Amino acid sequence: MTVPIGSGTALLESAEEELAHAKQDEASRRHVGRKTGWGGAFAAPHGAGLAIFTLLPIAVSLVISLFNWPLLGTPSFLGLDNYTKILTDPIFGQVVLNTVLFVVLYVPLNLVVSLGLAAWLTPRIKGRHIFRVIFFIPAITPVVANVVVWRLLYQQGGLIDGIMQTTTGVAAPNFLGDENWAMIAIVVMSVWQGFGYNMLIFSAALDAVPENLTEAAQIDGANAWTIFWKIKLAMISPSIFFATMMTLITSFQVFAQPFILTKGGPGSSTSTIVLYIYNQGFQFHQLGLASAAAWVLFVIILGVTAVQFLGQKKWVHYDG
Amino acid sequence: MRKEALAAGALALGLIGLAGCSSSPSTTTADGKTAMNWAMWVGGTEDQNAWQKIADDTSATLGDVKITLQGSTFADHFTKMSTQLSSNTAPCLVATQSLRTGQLAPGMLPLDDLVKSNNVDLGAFDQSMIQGLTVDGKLYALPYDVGPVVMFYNKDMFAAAGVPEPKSGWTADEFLAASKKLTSGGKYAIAPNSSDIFVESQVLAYNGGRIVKDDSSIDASNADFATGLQWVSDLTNKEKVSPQLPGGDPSFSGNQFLSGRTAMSIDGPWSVLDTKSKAKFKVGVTTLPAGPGGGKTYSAGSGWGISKQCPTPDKAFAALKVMTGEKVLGELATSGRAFAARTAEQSKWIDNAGIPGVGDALIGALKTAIPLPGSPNGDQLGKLLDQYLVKSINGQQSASDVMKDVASQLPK
Repeated sequence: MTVPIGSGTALLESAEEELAHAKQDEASRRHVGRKTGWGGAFAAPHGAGLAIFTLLPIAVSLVISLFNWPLLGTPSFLGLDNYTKILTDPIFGQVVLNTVLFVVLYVPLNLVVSLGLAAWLTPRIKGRHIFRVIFFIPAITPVVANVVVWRLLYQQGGLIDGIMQTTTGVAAPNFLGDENWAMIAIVVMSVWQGFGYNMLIFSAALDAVPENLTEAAQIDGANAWTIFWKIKLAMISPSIFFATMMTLITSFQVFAQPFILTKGGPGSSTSTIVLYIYNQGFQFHQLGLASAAAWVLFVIILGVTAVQFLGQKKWVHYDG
Repeated sequence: MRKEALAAGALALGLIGLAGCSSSPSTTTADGKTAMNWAMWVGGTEDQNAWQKIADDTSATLGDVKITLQGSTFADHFTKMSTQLSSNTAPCLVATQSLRTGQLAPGMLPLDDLVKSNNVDLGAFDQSMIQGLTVDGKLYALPYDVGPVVMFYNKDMFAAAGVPEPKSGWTADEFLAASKKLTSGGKYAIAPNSSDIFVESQVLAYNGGRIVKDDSSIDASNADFATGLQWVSDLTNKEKVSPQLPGGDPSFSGNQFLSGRTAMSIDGPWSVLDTKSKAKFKVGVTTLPAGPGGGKTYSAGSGWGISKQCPTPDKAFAALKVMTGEKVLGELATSGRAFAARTAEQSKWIDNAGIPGVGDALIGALKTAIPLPGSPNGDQLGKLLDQYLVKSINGQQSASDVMKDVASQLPK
């Protein structure tokens, strides 16, 4: 076999090039490696924090849920008994139903109110920024302060009762002391407290809808109502999906409002899952039961979130 | 690369170490004194100042200790203590209340041996409080105050309604007759109170019904208690001399009384002077109305004990001796902060109160008072009463059914 001289040179050059590339790659890898090392160094405290303050407690909570674990005293292993106990406990069943009732009433109301106000706060409204601030204030005011004020509004002889007696001559219901009204009172207060956050999200999303779309629709003869339903709502559907998800998750965790307004009563009519967890853990000192209830709540939220994600394909439009 | 990974690890561990070091407790001060924390509930600036003075005076008296006050609200104190006692972060000196000693007892040091070796005369204290702070035969705290549950009344409202002021030992029938005269124009005789000690005392005085037995066990479905509770509930939904109860507001009764909307309020001597200073009317004190089979009242009070985690229990007990000694309790009584658990100091509180008849009412009530026993499930019972009695008092469910619901949620 004869090898042309020229081709031998070409092979040599090719080998040299490959060697040079290899050296560059090695240098590049080392550079990247150095970057990764320092990146790791800076990320380590956060990683350690995540491991110690988030992952470890989650793991410990799962372990505790398998024990009879009094706040003071010696724990003893129970296996799945805590789960059996709470899942067969009629009070826990009532608590789950109360929480679902709160979610079913609160989430749609919150979304309707926040979306309605966001739609109203178009750039044509004078002082829209001031309105936005006013509507957002309850969302950033401490919930405890809000709840205390609402308790004064709700109680007999309070503002609502006073206005009703003056205008109609009829006393207002005992909102917090009547089991037929207590949950409604908590939902109304919670909507007032929570709509500002979603309103800001929707308002920003509506502002970002391209004007050429609405103008094109107007030229095609669409009225304002059709433009809102057919174009704007579709365009902000990712924001609606996000707001719905977050509102659902937080509303399953409702605690402060029933804790301060009603202590879960009258009876168990306003007890929620997180209030049950708090009472079991820190009032009745049953950390095992509290942890088991927390895991049941986790599974419920996980399930609801999964269903939301599965359903989003039908109504959320990401392609603009 | 290995060096960088090591650096990353060292940085993380260093930060964690720093965080850990910052919370490690010190038991000795810079000048060589034994440092100890004292967990006490604080209701406001006056409370803070009073307890701080005790901490400072006790430190000065002993010389070799430095007590630091660790305050929290009464509502949070017991949850905080339970958590601290279970997580090795408890202070040496722990405040406890007779009703709730049972739940803290597993984390606290029995004081009986220290009482003996230090020759503390328990006979100088009100015996109902010694009993109240004893769990399973062991004393867990030395008491500083005692309070038989009594009835406060608005003298001005009684005068305006032409009703003679109640005398110690008055009956439930006399109470109801007065209540009907006092209820008019949107004002009521008395507001309902679902707090454990108050409603249990009201029933005890009416017919002797009890749900917490002497051995600390709980019998929430006790028939006599349900009968007594129905009488209390009927004051709202049948006799109409009491307003409806809003949900979960233990301060409702006291607030209604202070604002002049009700003529009476069930309370303890620990609130007398605070109520007197805030009320825009003359305050009277008498016994709870006695019904058939009743006549007694519960007493409750508080004390200070030592956590099991305290590394210097001897020094902590030396501090307790000073804090519950004649001098400190005498000063607390004189300033009106506590109806002293030392019986010899109680007259100072009565003299300071400046309320005619208050001494007779309190001493009279104390004669028939029995300590409300603490129970490991006492806190749970209290929460359930707050939650469930609303239904009975507001007439949505019978007292008997409500108490059956409460009983079903308590450990058997």
